[in-house]
Amino acid sequence: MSRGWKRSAAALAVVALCGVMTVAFANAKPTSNTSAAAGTLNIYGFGPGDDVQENRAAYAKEQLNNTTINRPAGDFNDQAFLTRLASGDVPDLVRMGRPRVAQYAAKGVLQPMDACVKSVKSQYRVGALRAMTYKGHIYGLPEFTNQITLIVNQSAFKDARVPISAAQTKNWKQLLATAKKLTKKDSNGDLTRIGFDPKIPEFFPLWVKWYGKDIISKNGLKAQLNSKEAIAALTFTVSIVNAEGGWNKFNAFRQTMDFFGKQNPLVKDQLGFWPMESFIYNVFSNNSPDVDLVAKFFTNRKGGPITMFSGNGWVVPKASKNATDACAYMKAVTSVKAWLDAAKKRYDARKRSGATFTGVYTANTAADKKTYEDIYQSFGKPQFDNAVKLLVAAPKYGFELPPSPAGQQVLDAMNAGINRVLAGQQSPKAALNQAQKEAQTAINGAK
Amino acid sequence: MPGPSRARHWFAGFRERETWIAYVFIIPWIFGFVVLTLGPMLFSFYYSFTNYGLQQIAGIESTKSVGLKNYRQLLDDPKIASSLKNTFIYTVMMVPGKIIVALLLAMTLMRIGKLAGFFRTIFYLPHITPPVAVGVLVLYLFNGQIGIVNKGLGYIGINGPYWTSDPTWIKPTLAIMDIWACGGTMVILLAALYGVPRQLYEAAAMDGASAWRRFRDVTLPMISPALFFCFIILTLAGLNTFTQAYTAFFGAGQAGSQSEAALFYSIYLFQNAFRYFNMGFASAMAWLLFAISLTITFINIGVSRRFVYYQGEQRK
Repeated sequence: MSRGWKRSAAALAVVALCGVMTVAFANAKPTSNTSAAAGTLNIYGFGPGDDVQENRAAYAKEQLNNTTINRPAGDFNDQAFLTRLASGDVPDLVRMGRPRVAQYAAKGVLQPMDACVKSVKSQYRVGALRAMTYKGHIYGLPEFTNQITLIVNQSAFKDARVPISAAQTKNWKQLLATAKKLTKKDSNGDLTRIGFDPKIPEFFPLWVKWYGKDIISKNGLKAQLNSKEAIAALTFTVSIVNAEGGWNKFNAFRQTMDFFGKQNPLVKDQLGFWPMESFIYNVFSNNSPDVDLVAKFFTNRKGGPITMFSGNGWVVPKASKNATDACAYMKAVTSVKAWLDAAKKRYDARKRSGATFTGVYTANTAADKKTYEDIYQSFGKPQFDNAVKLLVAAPKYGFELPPSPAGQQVLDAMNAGINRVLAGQQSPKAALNQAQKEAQTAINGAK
Repeated sequence: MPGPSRARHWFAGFRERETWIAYVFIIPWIFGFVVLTLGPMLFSFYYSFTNYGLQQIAGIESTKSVGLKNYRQLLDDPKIASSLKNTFIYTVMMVPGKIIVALLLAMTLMRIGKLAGFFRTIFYLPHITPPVAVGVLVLYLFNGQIGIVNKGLGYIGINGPYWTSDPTWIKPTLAIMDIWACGGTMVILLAALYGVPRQLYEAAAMDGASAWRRFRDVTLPMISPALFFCFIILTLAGLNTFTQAYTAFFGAGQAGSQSEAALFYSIYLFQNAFRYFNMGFASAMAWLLFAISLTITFINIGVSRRFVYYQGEQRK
């Protein structure tokens, strides 16, 4: 009998050992080798990047020379960030896309930084700073700002014998006609040039803004996806795609384009004109400096310029162990001096290599002004000089999507609805009604 | 006469030194299974009855029970039904297709003489291609305008569809890419084919059975256990499909290519967990998928009694 008990006990011991290990591992917090000893700053979402990023990081590091700064590789990723929150290994400072800020702030994951930013906030673009604000508190500082302008392929207009003045968005009837004139197809009926790409669903809020309306209320708590203006905007933009061959052909052709290489759509004459973020001028000037482009404003129904901002921002988690240095770092890395230092170094590098410098566009208005006035010089490429002039003027006409506690879900509902219309599965009204319902449900659940 | 119970039999094994050694060797696996599989499953089951989300992850609020709220939400959310439908349709396309193609390749390999090893490697290579790479390949190979698939179809006079834009063709596209990577299934079936006794074919041939009759009445029954195994594994894989579809249609910068035709259940689960931070609801989704997978597996096991023949068993 006792031998039987011994055997049972042995087997039970094996099972119990596994159970204890499971519980131990489940509850274990790592002995954090990233714990903030005095003077340690752990940053997440700001891994090694281009020259502008590295020069700013170097400048910020100099301002905090008593602090050990850890900057692991990689950009922000929700999954990785959640894992760090769950494990207790919370970074002290995070860089994330601005649409995410309100989502995390609404859940109390981030700490308000009103006191930190008070002394510098007047330097930053109002729209970008608003995107970092939730329920009256500013949660950090915005960094880059992309803004949308029209990029016009002048060669295509010459080829189609259409005047450049027809590259406009004020008059939709004329816009549709211009798009049709610029569209080219081969003998099989496949597209060889898209006349005008309305860039939906990504830039749909800009099309709604044409009417002076927004897809979400200013406080981010009411979705407005199915307003009559939104339905009209979607109906029109889809009609452009349909007039140019329909979504299947349009999307298949667009997927073949290489925007970031030397054989970009301007060089290959694949696009007539389209709205695009400002970073693309830098890419084009590097890869194809002689390309025949004209930069123009996207205009509203009254002909006034409008542009939509997007970008990233710096925030501090509530569980940050070094909020003081986090505040100092975020101010330093987005400061006028940091941007000027990076812009100057880029300008010098481009000059040495014979490439073009098209400026650096940030959420710091003061930095942008000084970059243009003190650093920017013409490289003898008038098309890019004009683009830069436009980009410097564009921000005052800009808006950014209001922060919302369900920002991602609102955008996903919008994207899904618009894609259903493009694929011919729903009418614009039905799709946006469905998107509205999904978005508002998400907002109600998140606030 | 009733013998010792199974439990007593198991405990009795510990009298032997070899039993102890065996368990020592498998303890690492048991540990891994408990910590990395069973443990998370139990936690997820618990979380499916709670409000577990971002605030709970960050330790800002405690986890509270919400009863069956997450499970009720499964019934109210129309995307659950649509994503399940997408997943089932894809699985129904992929599983038979993969088994048929793998079996054909395996049978071809049996007939090839000296070059069998070389071709076996060639056929197996797609299986070890990383799924993310396959997702990217989908967009290039199946592009409606310049993709090699439509160019090939064009040479034989077929006007190929817009595989990656047309919602009707997105699931077949993904299924074809998955079938292309049938090397793993092929290897399993090849081993099964080698296990079919030659004398059965000889006997059948002597009785005048045609090639089709030999295949139907000798090959298929003899490899039916392997076919059943592949069927189960592939069905479960199909129900969990994620990477290729997510990479091709839902990755970063793909807002204009997202199609609800490619919104599979696992992708929607991932979005709920890691984009919308509804971990409790995502856990409930996971357990629904588990229940569905278990039900389908049990049905398959029941049906297999009729169609699967294990050598040496006696049918009553």
